[in-house]
Amino acid sequence: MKKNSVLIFISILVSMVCAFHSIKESSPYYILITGKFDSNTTAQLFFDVGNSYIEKNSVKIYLHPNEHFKKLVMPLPAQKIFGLRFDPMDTNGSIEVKKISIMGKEKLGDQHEILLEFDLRTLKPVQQVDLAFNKSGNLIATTHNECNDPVIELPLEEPLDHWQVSEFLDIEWFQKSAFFAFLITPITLALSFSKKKEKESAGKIIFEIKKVKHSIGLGESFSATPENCYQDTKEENIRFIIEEIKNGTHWKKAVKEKFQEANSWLYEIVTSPKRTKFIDEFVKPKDLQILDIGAGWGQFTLPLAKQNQICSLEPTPERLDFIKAAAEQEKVSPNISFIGADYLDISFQNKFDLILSIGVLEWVGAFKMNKPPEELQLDFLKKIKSELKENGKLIIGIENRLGLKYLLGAPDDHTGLSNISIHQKELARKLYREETDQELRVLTHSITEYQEMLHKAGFDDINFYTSTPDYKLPVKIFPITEGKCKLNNYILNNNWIEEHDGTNGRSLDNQMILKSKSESYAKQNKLHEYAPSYFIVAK
Amino acid sequence: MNYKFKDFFISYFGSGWLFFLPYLILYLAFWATNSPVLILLKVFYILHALNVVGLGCFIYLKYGVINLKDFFFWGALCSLFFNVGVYLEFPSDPWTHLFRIFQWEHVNQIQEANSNYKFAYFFGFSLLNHVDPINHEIALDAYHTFWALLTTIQFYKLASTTFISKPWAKLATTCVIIMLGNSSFSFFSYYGISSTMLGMIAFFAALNSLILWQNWKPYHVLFLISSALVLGIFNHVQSFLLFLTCGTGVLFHFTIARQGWSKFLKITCIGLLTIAVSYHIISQLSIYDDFRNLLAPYHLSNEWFYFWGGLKLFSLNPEINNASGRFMQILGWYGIFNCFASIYLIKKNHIVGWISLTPILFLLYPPFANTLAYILIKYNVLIVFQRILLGIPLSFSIILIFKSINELKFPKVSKSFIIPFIFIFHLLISINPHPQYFGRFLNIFERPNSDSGFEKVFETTSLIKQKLDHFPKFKILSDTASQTLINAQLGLVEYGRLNAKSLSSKISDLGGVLKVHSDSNVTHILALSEQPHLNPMGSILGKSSAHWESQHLANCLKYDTNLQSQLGTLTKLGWTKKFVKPWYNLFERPPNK
Repeated sequence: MKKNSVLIFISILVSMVCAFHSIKESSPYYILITGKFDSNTTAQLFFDVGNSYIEKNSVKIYLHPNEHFKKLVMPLPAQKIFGLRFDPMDTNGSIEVKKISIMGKEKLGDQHEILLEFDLRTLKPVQQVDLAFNKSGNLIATTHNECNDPVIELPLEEPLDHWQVSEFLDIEWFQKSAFFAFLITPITLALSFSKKKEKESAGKIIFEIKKVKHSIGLGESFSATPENCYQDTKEENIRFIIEEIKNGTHWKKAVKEKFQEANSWLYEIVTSPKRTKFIDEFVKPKDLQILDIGAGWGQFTLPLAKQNQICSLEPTPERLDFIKAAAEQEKVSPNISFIGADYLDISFQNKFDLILSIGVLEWVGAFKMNKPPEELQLDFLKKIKSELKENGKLIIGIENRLGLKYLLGAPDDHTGLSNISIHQKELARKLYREETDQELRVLTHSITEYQEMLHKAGFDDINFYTSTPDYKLPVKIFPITEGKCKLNNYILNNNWIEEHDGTNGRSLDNQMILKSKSESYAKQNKLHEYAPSYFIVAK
Repeated sequence: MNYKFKDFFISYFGSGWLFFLPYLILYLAFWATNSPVLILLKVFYILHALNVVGLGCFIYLKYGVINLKDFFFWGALCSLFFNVGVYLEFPSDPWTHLFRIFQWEHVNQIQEANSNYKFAYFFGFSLLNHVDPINHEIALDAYHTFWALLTTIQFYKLASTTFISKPWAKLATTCVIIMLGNSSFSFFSYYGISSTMLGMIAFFAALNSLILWQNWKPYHVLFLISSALVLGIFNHVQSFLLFLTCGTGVLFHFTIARQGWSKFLKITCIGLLTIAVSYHIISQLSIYDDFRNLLAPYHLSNEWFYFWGGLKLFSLNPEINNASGRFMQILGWYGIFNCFASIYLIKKNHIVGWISLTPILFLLYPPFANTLAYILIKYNVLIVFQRILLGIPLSFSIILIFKSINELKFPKVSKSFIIPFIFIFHLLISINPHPQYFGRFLNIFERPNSDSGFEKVFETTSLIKQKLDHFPKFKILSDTASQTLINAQLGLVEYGRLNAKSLSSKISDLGGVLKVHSDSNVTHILALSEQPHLNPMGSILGKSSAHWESQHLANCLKYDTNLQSQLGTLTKLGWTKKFVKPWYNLFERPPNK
């Protein structure tokens, strides 16, 4: 408020200065010459404002022969004038002058006030002109033959200091100032929105759910819990942790106490700093608007909110509550909008710089039954593309169905079953139904299938990164560039990263076989096609 | 709504220029086949209707995303443009632009029109042709606001792409409005209703597309750039030159970013030197005699070219008729500071530095400078070479330097204070009494027509328009000022507006009143009924820009009692006489005489 008052005050002051300049520049001080002319010619008045008689400081007027006396108006600037020179014509001829006066700005009736009236007898012919007087006492100026620059000097006893600042501070100045202020002040104020306000408005999320428009700001939340959502632990476990957080326990400690022994894999996934390794090393987002789809336990939302504005979208209510509680504790909630909804149920009107889908794409078909899962996955990606800014990026973290460990019998991270997801989806579906009597709705794909799917969704620039042992807790990440990947060299240099069971994090028993097979594929520069999981950056 | 369609729809309107393409395509099709104007006009009406509906949907879709701050900013700019209004001081160029818009009223086939390759005038006519002349002022204010706003949007898009920060981009855009111009004239004001505005919009659209080429597929970028350039060229050919120069700057930026400075310098220096030497050798051949002879006087005058052949942009005596004077008319001292800031930015390979400096580098480079000079001398006048400098986003480099300083570690001033203060600083320097060397902001508030009451001529035109139907060969005779204004508003033959003549002088040139009655095909005479009170100061902008005499209007609007008595004889010959606001008598020839 105080800042705005200062800016309004300054804008008004500047408007007053502008108005003053504007009026001063257009002020009607002028020389009035009453005379008669006998030819078509041009008269010119020069005024010396301290830099002698120059063309810039002059005014020209065209004259036509006239039998009657006419009034010639030649403007003067609102400046101190040291001398005046009148060039009555630029051709041969004569003029009859009755009166020469300097007129002021103020009006007396219809006429401007007379500041000075020249005694015609004091006028001096400077060059190419003769001066005489007729019977009526009028001055007759006759130019010499073939003249080109006849000059008469209008003598000033002292410099003509004919204007005063106070003359301009009248109602016209007030009106003009008000007009300028009316135009300038809103622009000044519009340019002055504080950073806080900027964030508030920039972080505003507008979206539609079931054709109803909603809008929330940073630090605010909205919930439209879907019918089905993912759960990796019982609701009461999370509620217990939230209570602990509210009681002052640090969220990481609360999770540790609850899960370190009971579910160490979940504990690792929720709290390990490795989780954001890819983002930290390859993306480093700053000052971006980010949508975190399926934010889970806030593993990405919480660290990224330190330097970005996050829209954290998590359909499981207790997990969203956990994120809120942890964000409060980390003091990053003013940078987060919390939305409890399924991504396919919501339509954003904002566009995002970055959208995260870490461990989400494969689950898209699991909670919506209206379409085959692969179609839902494609819809999901198309929707993301439409909600990205022009230069926005999508980051996906997901398993590779042809991961070597899966080919060698490791259970699928989502179904917990071996040797099913590695097949083409039709066969995988059949085998899964035989095994569980249920429909396979969680789908992972190979690198070429991901590429194809992203292309179909409208992404043109797609980059893959292998993530070992998986994308959940990556240890080594290598980009795949033009079919080459340093993962191959890494393995050939006798390095090894222990592979684990993605359902529980336990080390796999067949490490030796995995290593040997990996080396064989690495020699053929193909190991990256069999990496356990990928990060994908698509634009 | 399908996502792709929604995206396309938002780009169509959000780009600020793509919606012109359907109009342009139709116009070019009709232009190429020299088809009837009336049909095209009807097609344009349909397009207008579709676009209005589309715009409504666009606003609905974007409504939620537009925040109050943006709305306030753009609203403030709209208010500025609308309240300042269209600049129509007699005898400035906008009267010719006005004539080019309304001339379509009397054109049957497209190619009959004056400047028919400039598409914007027909677009303007399709919007304004049903407006009665009495409402022209407000309609033209709105029309000027439309163009000024679209041009500002393109500046803003360039600023937000290159500045990253939105508040600073807004500041840079506002400063462009204050500082950009030609001589004393503000760019946005002087070119407000001309085809130059659409030319500039197209130029910036092409430039923005080039800068963002990495975001799109190559054919998409190619489509955007080529269609923007076609749009530009069919409005003002200078768009292409602006794109050529500034676009080269963008390419330099990307090359350095990829290859590094040393490789860039080696390749560029060798390339440029080779071209310059080859050019010099070729230009000595006898088949280029015409080329050399045409340029020789300018080279010999020592006012236009340096000894190496580049245009003499920097000299100690900048005058209105030499290269450095013309250069200063666009840039001014502020522009020179902007150049220094650009050099600093180029050191950091900042894209704004390149865009701001390449037009100047081009003018200093002999092959380009001489070829451009040759073309201009041959088809126009050399003094318009300066227009290439309008491509420089004046103030961007300076604002970027301010931004960098503000980001330094030492006492950082809040953005919310520093930005409005920089804006105010620009306002203050722009009110210097020598506007051509600083800003032009204050000059946009000049409404000389209002001072003299001359804007009431719109009422006169409205009345005269009613006479048009009764006189198939309508021709009006008046002083230069009144005649120019009426002819422009009615789209009648353009009159030599810079040749200041009073009515008595014109009648005397025609051989007197009786001669006009007997010989001339003049159907109407519009004579002053009294001496209008004009501001003795005359035209401030005419004087400071040296485009016309300050007393030009006064030299036209001269009441002559002798003429009144002479015109009185016309009434005896059957002419009717009627008083018309604000200070005219309209004499009308009797029918069949």
